[in-house]
Amino acid sequence: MLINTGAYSFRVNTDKKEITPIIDSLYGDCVNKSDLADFKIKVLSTSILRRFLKPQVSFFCDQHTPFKPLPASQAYPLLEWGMNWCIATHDHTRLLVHAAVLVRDGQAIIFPASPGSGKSTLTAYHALSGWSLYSDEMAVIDLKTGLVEPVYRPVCLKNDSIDLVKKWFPDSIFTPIWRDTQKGDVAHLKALKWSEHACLRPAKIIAVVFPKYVKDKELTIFKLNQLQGFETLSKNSFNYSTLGESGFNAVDRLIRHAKLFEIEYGSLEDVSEFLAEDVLI
Amino acid sequence: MRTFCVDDLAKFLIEPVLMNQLTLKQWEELILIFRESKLLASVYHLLIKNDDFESKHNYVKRHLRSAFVHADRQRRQVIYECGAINALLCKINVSPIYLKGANYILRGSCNSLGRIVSDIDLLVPKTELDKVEALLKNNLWKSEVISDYDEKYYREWAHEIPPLIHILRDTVLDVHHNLYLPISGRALDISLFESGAIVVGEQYSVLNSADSVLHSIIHLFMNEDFTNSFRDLFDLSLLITEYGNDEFWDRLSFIASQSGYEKEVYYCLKISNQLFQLPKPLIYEGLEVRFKSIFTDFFINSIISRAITPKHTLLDTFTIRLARFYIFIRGHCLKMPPHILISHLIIKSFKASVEAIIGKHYFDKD
Repeated sequence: MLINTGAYSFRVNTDKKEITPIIDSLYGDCVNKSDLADFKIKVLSTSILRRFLKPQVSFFCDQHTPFKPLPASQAYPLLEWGMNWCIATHDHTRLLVHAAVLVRDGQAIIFPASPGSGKSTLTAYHALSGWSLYSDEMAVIDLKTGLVEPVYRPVCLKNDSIDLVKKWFPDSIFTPIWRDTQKGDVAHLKALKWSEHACLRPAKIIAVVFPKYVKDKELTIFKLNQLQGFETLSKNSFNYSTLGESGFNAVDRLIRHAKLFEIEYGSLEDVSEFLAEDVLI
Repeated sequence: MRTFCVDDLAKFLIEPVLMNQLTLKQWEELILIFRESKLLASVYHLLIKNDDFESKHNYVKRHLRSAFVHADRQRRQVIYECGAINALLCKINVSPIYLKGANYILRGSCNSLGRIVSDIDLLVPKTELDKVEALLKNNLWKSEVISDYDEKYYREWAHEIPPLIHILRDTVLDVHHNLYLPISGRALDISLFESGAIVVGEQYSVLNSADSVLHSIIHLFMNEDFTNSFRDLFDLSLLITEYGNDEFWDRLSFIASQSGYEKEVYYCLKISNQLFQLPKPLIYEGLEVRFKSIFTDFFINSIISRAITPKHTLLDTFTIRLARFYIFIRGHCLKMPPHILISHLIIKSFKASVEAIIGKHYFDKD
């Protein structure tokens, strides 16, 4: 089976038949231009005994297992995390930043953030209210043009935010919820169709916003200087140090041309207003 | 039906123009195979050198360029680390001799282009070993977590101490005091190698070209693990092509006979000739007279020629796995006297069985 995410394609093999319908529900509508895969991946049951007793699954990228096995029930989240790993460790032709990317009117805003900052909730909320989702996990930035490329992947929501997004957007398409993973409860949201994704073009990054969710907090905006922007961006990049000079130049260009903010927020409506009024041109 | 065999891979490396005929579907497999063989970035350099890179499909170019960027980052890292290690060990008047990958990169040999280096190997005098280890451990290098059994293995029997890992940069360092395990009874007279070492890049001591070729030959043909053997043999054929003048062959003959590894040199020259069409040097005839027999013919033509295949499911066959198993047993037999070998294999196979049943990470120390 081939998963095409636009920028990267994966040939997937699994003996956990129950994840095939989930793959179909998220990626089934993508149109494959070719049968070529960038990565050959597998999600397989582990040892002989483990098939019967507390079954586990392992992720394979070609012949390697980068992670320790997980309980078999978490096969699907493991597949998604494994796909992230493949891209982050193998693609050194672009700058990869751990960030969500949202685009409106051809203007891209990237949201680098650490876990627990509410990044995915923010992404889901905006992706379902008129913004184009380019990525929930990774900003894929061209080293020559500095444009950010769209990647066809779902949004990975955790814990309370799953119910919140379901409440805000009752029609949204979700995978089942996987309980008690290493990131807590996890579900994936299909925020756009392939036909919508196929119309997206590489976009210019006009702003970098570091979000931080603080319960009940009024929106507080900090302007970052270029040095702070550089430090945080390079720290959030998967391959900054591997890229060497070209990585430095890419981050340098970004901080020179993009507005840089850190925000603390308690309400996503405030964030929307801020993005529309103060960030978009 | 397999698309490629080891002979095809070797042909692509010695005549990169042959890769122009490949379909994208074949490239998809070849990229996986060369990545696993740690040769993907070397292929990039071969195509660039031949002016064949730009004409390739974007898919191929993207994967090859990515591999190049990764290897180039390693190259810079190795040079940086060696500089830092030199500066540190200089405090106790030790000038380490860099081996294998670090050696190739520091001297800038042809085979260093795109070479993947998983760790930095260096050689220090055994008398200085404790001081070197203590100094490194006081300066952000720590021992990797290994089992008590592995610790004993390194300390009592091996030619190196347990790997050190840099706390901030994750670089792995193998500190050697010999080039082969003392427990085998075939350790080398290291003073010969130390006195023959040369200085490159103004400050880095490395084995001279013939000695480093012999070291790589020993590393390849005495090993129980042939995982990187294809790459290692390609290394050897490039090194020999680059450095193989009269002086080189004199030194190689001398050091191999002093160290007792002439048969392994014969294996190397014969299989490199078969696989990479490396011309037979003058010393070959003498070695052939001494070592050619039905046993060595069988070993080279039936075992090595198969076990040398990169370990990848797209290449594996039953006979290749069998040959690799033979190498595994042979390598262990060469390493240790029988009584130690038997207990070693029992302990290792017990662990492997438990891991197969309960799960791979059962023995991990968290």
